[in-house]
Amino acid sequence: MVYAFLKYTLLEVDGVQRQSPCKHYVKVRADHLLSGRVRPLMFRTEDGPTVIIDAVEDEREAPALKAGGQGMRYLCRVGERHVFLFYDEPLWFIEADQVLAEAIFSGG
Amino acid sequence: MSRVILHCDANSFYAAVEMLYDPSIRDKPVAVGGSVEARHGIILTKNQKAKACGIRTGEAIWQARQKCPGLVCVPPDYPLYVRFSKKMRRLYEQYSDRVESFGLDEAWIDLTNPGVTIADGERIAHQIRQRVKEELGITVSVGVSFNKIFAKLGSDMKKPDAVTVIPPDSFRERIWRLPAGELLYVGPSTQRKLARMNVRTIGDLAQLDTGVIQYCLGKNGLLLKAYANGLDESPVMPVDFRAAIKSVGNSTTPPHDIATAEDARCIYYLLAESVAARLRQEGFRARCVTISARTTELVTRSHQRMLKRPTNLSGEIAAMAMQLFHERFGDGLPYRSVGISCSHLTLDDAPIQLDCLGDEDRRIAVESMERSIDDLRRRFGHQVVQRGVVLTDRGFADINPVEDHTIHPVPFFSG
Repeated sequence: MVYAFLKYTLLEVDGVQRQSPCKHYVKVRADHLLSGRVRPLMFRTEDGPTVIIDAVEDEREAPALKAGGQGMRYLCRVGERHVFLFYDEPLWFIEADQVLAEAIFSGG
Repeated sequence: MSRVILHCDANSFYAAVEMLYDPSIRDKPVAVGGSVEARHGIILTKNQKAKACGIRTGEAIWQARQKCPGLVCVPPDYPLYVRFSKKMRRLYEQYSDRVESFGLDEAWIDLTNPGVTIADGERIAHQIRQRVKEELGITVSVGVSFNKIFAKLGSDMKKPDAVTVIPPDSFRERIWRLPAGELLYVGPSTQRKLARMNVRTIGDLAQLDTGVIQYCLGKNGLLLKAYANGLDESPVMPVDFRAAIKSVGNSTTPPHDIATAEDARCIYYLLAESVAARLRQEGFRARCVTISARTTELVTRSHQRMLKRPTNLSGEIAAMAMQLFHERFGDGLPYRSVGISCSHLTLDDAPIQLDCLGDEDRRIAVESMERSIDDLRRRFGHQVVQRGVVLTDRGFADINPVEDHTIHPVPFFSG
């Protein structure tokens, strides 16, 4: 049994960012559906351009083996390309090597 | 009907999660250990590569570094491990409503149902193993057997990412040749005692004479012999299981010693309030109040007394505590810490003997008021309503009497 009567309201703390070359943390705009599912619509890095997701082709719990991490994995189609978008609560990131990341964020 | 029980054990759990989050260390020997900078702390978990260097859980980090100069030592990130533990549990709960966790990285799953065989258990075990790897990115070893002890033994036999079956008809061939120390609850000390009787394997233990083992190891010896013979009947606790509450207590070590009876009064009221609130929350009244006090020399004493009527009112509990304090502890000041515990619990909706000359009306009114205070505190925090006596000392008034108690690993005999 855990009892925690806190004297002060708990402050919500930000997630800890763990960096790696294939990991790009992003801001996400998403639809939260009535069923509770989340459908991401677009994302951007802190100062980059907005990238619109054309379609989410798959979603499942999965590890991010290249970037490091684990969470709900969305297979997003952006134009001609595919990229994995992860929701590793409370953070979102995309898993992409340098070539893919440049192509996606430059809109090319 | 033979039971079908799985035991899932995450392989090098902390290290596996750390490797999942940092791809650059995956091919290196990795250990999760306490504070590295402070030059103390011990190895909590290590991966396969570190194990190959001879690093053992529990040894000091500097020792480990001597054995393996390239060792990557990372500090533990408990919130992350707890999150993974919960995710694993959610996955297990898709297969049964009887899932009992054993620490953060282990759990038993009871699949027993009419028509479910050990072979079905093995199939589900492979499915779970596969899903944990694909969805969470870490690996588990699963033991499948007809009792909890053998299921746990099985999960230790083949690692990592493997399933071991110990069926009821052939467990003797499979495990009786294993060293006795492999069995749950045979630690180094028991192992030494057994070795003196020339008991070295689980089979030796199973066939040892009942009288001899009881003489040497007492009641626990009989238990171990039963385990070795596959006679463990302990159930896998259902998901919503909570151990029966026998007493409700609280103690505190305030910021400064309790030097006067007035200090003690303040602290006992504070503790009585939290104990009474918990009694009400759990739906109990208590007949017996125990107070304890620890002197500055760290000697603890306690005394208890029965109340006339079962109660869940903080005023009555505190009054009894103070009465006991004056009679028993008044001379021993100062004290370092004090506590109150209430036992002999009855359900609060059980009929009680009313007292026609008594003050039942007032008691009912007070209980109603205290429940309102509970609700206010739940909504606005503990400090929102306080007794006047508590405010006599600002240092004490800031104490939060209710603390968080979670213990890992949990004991096996928790039922």
